[in-house]
Amino acid sequence: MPDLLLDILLAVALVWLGWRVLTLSDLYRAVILFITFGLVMALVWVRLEAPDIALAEAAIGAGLTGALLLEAVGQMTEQAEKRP
Amino acid sequence: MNQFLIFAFTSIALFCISLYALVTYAHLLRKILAINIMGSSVFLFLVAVAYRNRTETPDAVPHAMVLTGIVVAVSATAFALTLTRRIHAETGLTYLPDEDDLE
Amino acid sequence: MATESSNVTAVRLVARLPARLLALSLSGLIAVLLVLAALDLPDDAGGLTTQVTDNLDQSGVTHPVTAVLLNFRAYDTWLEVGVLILALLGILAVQQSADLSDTGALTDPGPVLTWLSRLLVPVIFLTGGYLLWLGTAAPGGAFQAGAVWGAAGVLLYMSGYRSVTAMGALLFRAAVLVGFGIFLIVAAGPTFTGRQMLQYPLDLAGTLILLVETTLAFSVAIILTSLFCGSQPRRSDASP
Repeated sequence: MPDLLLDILLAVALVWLGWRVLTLSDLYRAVILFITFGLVMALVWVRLEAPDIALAEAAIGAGLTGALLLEAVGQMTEQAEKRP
Repeated sequence: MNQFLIFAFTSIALFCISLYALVTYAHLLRKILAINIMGSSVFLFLVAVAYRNRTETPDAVPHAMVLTGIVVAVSATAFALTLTRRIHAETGLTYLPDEDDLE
Repeated sequence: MATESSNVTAVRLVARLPARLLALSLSGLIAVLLVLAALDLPDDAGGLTTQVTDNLDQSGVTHPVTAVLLNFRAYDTWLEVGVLILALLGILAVQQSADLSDTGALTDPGPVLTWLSRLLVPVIFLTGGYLLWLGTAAPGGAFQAGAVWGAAGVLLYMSGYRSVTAMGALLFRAAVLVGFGIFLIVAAGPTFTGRQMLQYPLDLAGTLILLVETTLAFSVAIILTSLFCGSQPRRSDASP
């Protein structure tokens, strides 16, 4: 029973995070929630007995994709503010 | 309600929410986020099926497919972000303009 | 008319209401169909687990996921590195440059990030090497090691140290292509001795897999770091 409760909690967290990533109007916060989404997804991979995928998701999915997106959001705001 | 069904429904919910967001929102970064979440939801479904099919260890073939998928998704995201930044640098817009469809 | 403000991150352009309702109803329909399909999956369990465990001792490694990735489905892994190279080529084409020598972090990293990266990068290097070696028997392998090493490269880049950006054009191309190239030689080699493509000789399978994994991890690390650095603006584009 506690295992099932953990799974339901992780599932609800995933759906809520996914919904907030797509509907937040501030993209900075959306990207940070996307990184959190990747980390919760890594936890779900561990629950589903897939540790190789958990390693790859934490490094590539959350880490590298999050860094790429943060750079993109920062760059696009910076260029907008520099324009006269 | 076993583990497979919980995560299968989660993946379906994420897929349909991000499909709606992909079609509805015009900001390119949001579309890229939606595509990434769609990809992650498909991987979740694949791994849930692999977990359902386990004998003593989970089925290894969907795990390998998902690993390949994660790497392909990050390279596609990197390329899409480069294109988006180029579009923004050239035109100053963060969406592909088509004034008839936007309010 | 578009609802747009001067702050780019707060823009929220949405489609018109009829289009939104149509998208909502179609997404809902797809959700219902997928739920019915998920509930309708056949009951006989097993998938391909029995085939994998039966042939595991002939594959040269003892971890099933590594065996599937680098022996049974090696073709997919090989072409996946090809996709990575294609994405890198696409990025270089959009940025209109042949290598990464004129990218560089435009802001000062500060003392904390510099000190932290000097502390962490050797540890990350060791961790990646350990994951690479461990892949034959436990979760790990080429892509996990390549991803961790790529993260080290990105950390070095953000701290102002030069890693991928300091490579000359020839060395850069060689480093990117060595994983795919070694895999090509290992894949096409058996065809010269009368076997099929990717049919490793049984006694050499473990060694070949380790060789392919090492060069693959190295190449994947270089490509992942370059995917990050290549998206950065060029120093020549920076507005004065």
